[in-house]
Amino acid sequence: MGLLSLGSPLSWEETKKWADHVRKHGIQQLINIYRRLKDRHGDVLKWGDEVEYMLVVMDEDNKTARLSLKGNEVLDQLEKRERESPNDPPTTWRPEYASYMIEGTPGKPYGGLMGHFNMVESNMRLRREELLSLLDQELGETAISFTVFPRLGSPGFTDPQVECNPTVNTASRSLFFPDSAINHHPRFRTLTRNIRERRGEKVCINIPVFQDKNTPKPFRETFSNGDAEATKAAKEDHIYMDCMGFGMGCSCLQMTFQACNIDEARHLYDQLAPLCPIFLALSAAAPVYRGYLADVDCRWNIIAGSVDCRTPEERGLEPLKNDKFVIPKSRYDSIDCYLTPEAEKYNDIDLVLDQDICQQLQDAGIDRLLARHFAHLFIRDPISLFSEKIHLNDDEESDHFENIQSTNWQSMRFKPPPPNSPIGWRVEFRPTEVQLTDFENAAYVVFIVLLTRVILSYNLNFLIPISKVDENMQEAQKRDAVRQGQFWFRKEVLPPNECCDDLETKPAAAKSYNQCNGEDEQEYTKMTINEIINGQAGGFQGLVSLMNSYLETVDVDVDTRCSVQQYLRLIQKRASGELMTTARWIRAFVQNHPKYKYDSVVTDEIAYDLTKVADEITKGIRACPELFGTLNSRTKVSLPPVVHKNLRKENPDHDILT
Amino acid sequence: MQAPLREVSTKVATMSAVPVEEIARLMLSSTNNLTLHTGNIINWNHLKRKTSQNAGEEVLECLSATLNVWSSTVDPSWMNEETNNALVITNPNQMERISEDERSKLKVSVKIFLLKWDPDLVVEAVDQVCNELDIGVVDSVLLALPPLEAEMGEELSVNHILPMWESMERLYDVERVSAIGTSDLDKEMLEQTHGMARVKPTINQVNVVSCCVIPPDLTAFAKENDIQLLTHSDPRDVLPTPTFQEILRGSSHDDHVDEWQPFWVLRYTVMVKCRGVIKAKGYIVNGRRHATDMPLSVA
Repeated sequence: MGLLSLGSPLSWEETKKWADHVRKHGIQQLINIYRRLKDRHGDVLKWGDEVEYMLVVMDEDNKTARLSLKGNEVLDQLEKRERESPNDPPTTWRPEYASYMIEGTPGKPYGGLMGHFNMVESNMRLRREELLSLLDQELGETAISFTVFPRLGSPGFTDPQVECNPTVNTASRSLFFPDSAINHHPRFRTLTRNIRERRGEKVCINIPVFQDKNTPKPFRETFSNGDAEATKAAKEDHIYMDCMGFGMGCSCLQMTFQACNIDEARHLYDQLAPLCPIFLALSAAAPVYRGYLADVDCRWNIIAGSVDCRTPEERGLEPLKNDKFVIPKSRYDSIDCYLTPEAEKYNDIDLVLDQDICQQLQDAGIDRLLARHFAHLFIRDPISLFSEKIHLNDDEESDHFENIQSTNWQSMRFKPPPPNSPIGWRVEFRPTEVQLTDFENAAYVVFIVLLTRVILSYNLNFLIPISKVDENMQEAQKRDAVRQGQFWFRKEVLPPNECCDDLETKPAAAKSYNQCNGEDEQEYTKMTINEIINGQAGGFQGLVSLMNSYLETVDVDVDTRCSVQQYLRLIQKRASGELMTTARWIRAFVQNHPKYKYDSVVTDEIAYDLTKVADEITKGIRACPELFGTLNSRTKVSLPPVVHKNLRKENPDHDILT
Repeated sequence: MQAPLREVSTKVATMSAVPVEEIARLMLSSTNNLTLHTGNIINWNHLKRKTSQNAGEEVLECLSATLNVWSSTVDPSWMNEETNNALVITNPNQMERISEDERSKLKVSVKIFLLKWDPDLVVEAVDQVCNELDIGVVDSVLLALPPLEAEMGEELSVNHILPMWESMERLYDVERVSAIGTSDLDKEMLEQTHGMARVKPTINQVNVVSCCVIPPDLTAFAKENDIQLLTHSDPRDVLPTPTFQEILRGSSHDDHVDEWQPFWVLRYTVMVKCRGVIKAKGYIVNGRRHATDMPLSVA
């Protein structure tokens, strides 16, 4: 996660003093990269996924499930294995924010062949097996890909159990989340402390609690550590959370892919942005926080609040005196602008940006839209800086650029190539919530990457105003948004075709594709997730229909086709409601638990049972037809042998997983 | 006796104020050998508005549309003067030739739906697509055999397949095609064909409805012999004769339209290698009429 330099982190006061220096050199580093690499082309498709896992210890006798803080130990062992592996290891491991979290990725990226879609799930399984092999199942240790651990921040939620009060937790000052649950690499504690100090107070997250039959109304907690700040900050009928750990201690599923050149990267970034809220709703897996059932199904707003370093002035609560800008969003949130000229007319929200930086970028030859994008990211201060990494060679290094770039956590990320590397322009898709099983995670990953191929092949257009995408992001997080939500979606996604198109619909199609927002004829309308994925009678044919059209045109081997078909079916059935999202399933589990008192409280026992069942489902010991039916793929660890042979003949240089 | 095509065109060129549909009708009724090329249909939106459509429906729609456009825009000077009495109809707006330096980055795959048991048609079809796309080599050609029952009333045997396969091998020998394969052969037929072939098939297509339930013996045989099993969702009969005649009837008031028979259908797909992006997809169809143009029966 982000930049992991070694060395001595600076205090917030010192970091703040270097903020302009970091920005200035970061921009110069970006300009250098851009100049050198803007004409880079011909890059093949390479892509990868990131899955985050939580280490859990289950105590059968006491019926508790706790988050195990030995993430670093386990990671050391995994990294050792990687280093000692004689061949290219098929998996790679990285640390994450919390000391109970680990992130796994494929050892090398997947490539542009259809057969690669059939390798994702196997590679994910390999990762899980590797991780589990280092855990002691006799002692109840396991790894689960929960998006949020249900009793995160509840008393005694860690193993070992740790005292938790603000005087001990110097980084976060949290009432609930101990500093020892933060990864011991200095970057993470530094970020935690600096965000809090910059803001001038603890972060403040309030999430509506789910009002069940017996939930107290008003819902108000008393905090045993008697914290005055908390009593003031906690809103009635909300679940209160007070530190970075509640957000960055959540897991997610991310995909990154390389475009053939910068224009394609910008194009895909724009086209996927309106799909972020759709996939957030479809992957919803986070309905429980700090032991309470919430009225939301997704983690997004919680994470946004957890790293919100904006001062009261920046939040518009006080007049601007010390700070330069009023900033509408946290540094973790959905994107604020599109990058391509075709999409410019949809940039309808005010973009807060540093005009000097914007001008500097344009003077250096970067076009206005891209300059604005980066000038907007660069309104933020660096929130972590290492003394050894202050003075850099702007031609060879990009740490200052990455510093700001990697602490703008957005729904999409546009990633320039690193200097001196064979890697090209990339796009990262970040909203998806992680699912319990590898089958499900592979399904979401394959769906999105496959969709990018369909977007490029058929020149699809999903653009709608950014303000509408933002509305959709809020809609997506609501309880059961997948079945009940209404989302703004473009009516006409196919490009106009001059010749041989059906003459009756052509005028309407051409008109709606090209026109700017008129008063009576909008380009977009509200649709349900089901309509977006599965189509409307007589209207939009649905994403899956377009994807099937693609699959019928390209060469696909039988196993890949079988797997992809299953993955599409999973997404289709989640969209129609026939299968539950993980969020809905967790809710149902809690509400149907014999010890549940209809008061929105998820006790240790309920959380234990939930964790145990989730563990069994993950390991394939227990079926869960409500979650993913009886769907089963034909995933393989490598490409079909014939393809493998041909690949070595045709493309010996491509450094991809085969 | 119908006037040869060239005479018609000369006559038409001298006529003034002739409605273009009339010119089209005259040209169609004067020919016995018709080739239709849809051009690149990848962005034909009406094909994608339906939630699912198989190749048969797609061919029907594309051919009708191509003929309609042609009928309303035909210029007699487009006629192919060299070919003896053969008419080639293309949609010039949709034509995309592949340039020299683009070619190395693209993969051109072709499937020939043979509708008559004539090995020469295989070569003809491949020549036609190379001509249309302006390329010298096709990366892969898959052969779908004619429906047997209509012709022979016999069961498919490797003896039916081999003469067709020999055409494929010759194309491979002269490096016109880099990889050759079959479509819808079961394990038995595939094994026999593979056994007797000089140039072995490296691909066999399987219908997508069985992609999750492939017979294990087929899978094993394919694996042992380096044959890729690829899926398809094409119907058994991609262009039935009545359908073809119906398409032509729409563009011609010719009483003899029911003499026409489709001889082969070819589908080509152009992909950008290693990026998974489809660049072009199209159909070329050949049909003929009159007894003199019928193929020799398979001995």
